[in-house]
Amino acid sequence: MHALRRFLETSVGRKTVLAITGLSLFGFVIVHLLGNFALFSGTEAFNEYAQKLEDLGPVLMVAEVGLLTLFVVHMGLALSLHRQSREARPDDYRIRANMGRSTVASRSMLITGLALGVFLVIHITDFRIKKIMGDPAVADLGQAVVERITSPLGLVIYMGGIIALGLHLRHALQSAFQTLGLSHPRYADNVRYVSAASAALITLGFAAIPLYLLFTGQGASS
Amino acid sequence: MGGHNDETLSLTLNIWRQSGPDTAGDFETHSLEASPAMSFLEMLDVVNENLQREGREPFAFDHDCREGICGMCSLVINGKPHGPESETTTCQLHMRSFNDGDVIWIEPFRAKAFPVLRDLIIDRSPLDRIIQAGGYVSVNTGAPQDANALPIPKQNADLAMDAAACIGCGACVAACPNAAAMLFTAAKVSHLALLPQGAPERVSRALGMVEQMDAEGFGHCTNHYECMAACPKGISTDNIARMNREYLRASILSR
Ligand code: FES
Repeated sequence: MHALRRFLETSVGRKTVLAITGLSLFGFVIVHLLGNFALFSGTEAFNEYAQKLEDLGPVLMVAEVGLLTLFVVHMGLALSLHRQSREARPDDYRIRANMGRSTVASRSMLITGLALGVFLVIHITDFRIKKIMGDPAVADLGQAVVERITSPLGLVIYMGGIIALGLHLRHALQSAFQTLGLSHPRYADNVRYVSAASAALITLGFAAIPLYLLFTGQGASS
Repeated sequence: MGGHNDETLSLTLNIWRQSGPDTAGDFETHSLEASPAMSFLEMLDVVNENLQREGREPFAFDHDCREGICGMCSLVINGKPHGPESETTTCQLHMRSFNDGDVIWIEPFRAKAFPVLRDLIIDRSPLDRIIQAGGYVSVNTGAPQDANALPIPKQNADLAMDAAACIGCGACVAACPNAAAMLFTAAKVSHLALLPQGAPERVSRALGMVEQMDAEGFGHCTNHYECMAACPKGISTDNIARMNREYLRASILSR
């Protein structure tokens, strides 16, 4: 217990947990995306998939509590680490040049992370909480999702969330490997390519859903 | 401008002036005709000589070897630690890297752990305390050991040597958006972790140095890799991954 506390008190220890929770959440995002692909086969297929999840009963609940814990731990650690870094340079440079290695994605991790947090709250209250409360508006969940993400405001929020996710992952994946010490000249380049490619694929995958619905005339107005 | 050392550069220099750690500082502007053959520090020497001649206070700045090996020089020049040339310390930077008419901004390295003592001089003793927390090996006294008694794979010797090239100047901290000292600490941890001589203290070193790094008030690493780009010795961030491994391993093995 003492060793664990010591571990979590250092920045490297907390970052290790940040990386592990982040990679787990990445895994969840992939599963979530694959589930959403059911919408390509129509709202009925989507509802069937959702029903299968509901049928898991207590297993689903354990998974949801686990996910929530991952999110809370990930965000809490990120904020505490961020504060440490803010305090580490109270008096900033008057003239600051980039050394050319940081990227838009790496510099905006906090912003994209916070944006994802906001998106998550909207997303969960919109669908999950309403579903649990038995709100009739989400009785046909697939239809509710389709209407939401193809309405003008819904589409903007959705796309905003997806862009934040893409940028976040763009830096996060290779960063997590580096933090976990999984960097070696033999495969470091591959880690970078796979990280970039999976961030791009996930962004495109999520973005494709409302676009497909709109182009095939299954949008909110139909 | 190859070889035309007789031409001069008309420069406008904005140099940081600060009387002590607890006082506010600001830039002071000076004009100077400099030769492209001068080193950057020689250029500052001329500024100081002029100031002294006028009975004014010269700028305090750190330097020692002026050969790029001691790590004493610092300065953030136009926003970059050690200035615009890659893998070049401020003392090895020459005025030929600048153009006639340039405006040059000169500030100290900035981090809470590196308080400004005066003008451009900062206190880098936190880095010494990180070393004291584990950057050493125990050596038995007595007759010297046979040089070949400890086999070291060539690859490890090379990697250790690369890490040992760190001169401890603190440019990594200066360049890091988080003011983290990860590259410095990682270079020191790696240098010893890669060699058999470093094995006995391997666990306590990783734990001690990482904990000291945090205790000194440095930030955390978000893997921007700006440190590697700023490092005058080209230390690789692979060392940071290695230190993360070392630290994880040490946390599991420590008792
Ligand atoms: S003065 Fe020694 S490295 Fe620059």
